[in-house]
Amino acid sequence: MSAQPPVAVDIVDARARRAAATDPLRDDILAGLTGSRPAGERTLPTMLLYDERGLRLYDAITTDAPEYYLFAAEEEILRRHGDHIARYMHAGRAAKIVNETVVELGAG
Amino acid sequence: MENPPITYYALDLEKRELERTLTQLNQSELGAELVGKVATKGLCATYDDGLELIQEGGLQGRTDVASVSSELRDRHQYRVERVSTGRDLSPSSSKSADTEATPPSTPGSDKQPFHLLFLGSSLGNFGRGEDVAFLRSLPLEPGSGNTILIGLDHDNDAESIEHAYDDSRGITRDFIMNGLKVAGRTLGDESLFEEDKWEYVGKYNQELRKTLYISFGYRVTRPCYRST
Repeated sequence: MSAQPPVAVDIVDARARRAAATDPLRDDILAGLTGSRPAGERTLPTMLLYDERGLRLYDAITTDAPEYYLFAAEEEILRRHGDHIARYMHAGRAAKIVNETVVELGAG
Repeated sequence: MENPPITYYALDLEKRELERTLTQLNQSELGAELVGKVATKGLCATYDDGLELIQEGGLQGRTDVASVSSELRDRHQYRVERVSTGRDLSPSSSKSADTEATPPSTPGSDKQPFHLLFLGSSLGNFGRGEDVAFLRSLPLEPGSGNTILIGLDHDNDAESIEHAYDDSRGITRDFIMNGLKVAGRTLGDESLFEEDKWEYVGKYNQELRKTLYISFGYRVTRPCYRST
């Protein structure tokens, strides 16, 4: 017996549009490791950290690592000043809000 | 039924994570409060593709299926999927993983403003120069009504910063080391970087202090030679 009704979420999947002949991530990895940089200065792209497992680990950092002050600080700012921020977003627009879009980049 | 005045899109490349977190949100108390005010959706795309889609008006509060012109279909093919999760899916539930093609925008409609959120010091994930280039590329013309909210950490002492990125439970260490697995997987072999041969080093770069630079490094713990 389920306590929750079925929940549906809409996901716009825009990944299918690009038929990639090359994998940019693969290229970035190889470029960072084999390029002209001297030994000791090789690089890997940050994107590597954010696969599904990485995102869950990051989630765990925000909840279980108090040293990671950034998350709590940002949450407090949004809590305290959220109203002000929202009003500022609509500053100068007297019209009723209709059909506006908010996009969180890298929401995870 | 009228669409809510605001639609929030969580943009990310990891579709399963989008499903998981959005479902969690919808099931929470906050989710109930948002009904009728903010519609919540996922947008599975890169920053660039997602922004292009927004600019073309591709996300103008569309939730319904409409006819697709063939020209638009060629240029901007994308799908809206309704994903149903939950333990009690009855056979008569209307939509589960329907895929629908929707056109980018209603011809002649005004471009409504959009608001970008770039939180969690994510801007710091860009390399030097790339961060500026990215911000410059954003469509934030005066008069457009478009806004961006950037969450960025300010200057703190080196010790706090280093601890922030190297917690005592080792979660950050696991997070960073997972990157090596992903690198290996991308190159075709998940165990390409043998985990016990690398260690994580998080150092706050004092010289580049102006840009609040912290580097995550992997250091070889003992040399290894791999024959190919």
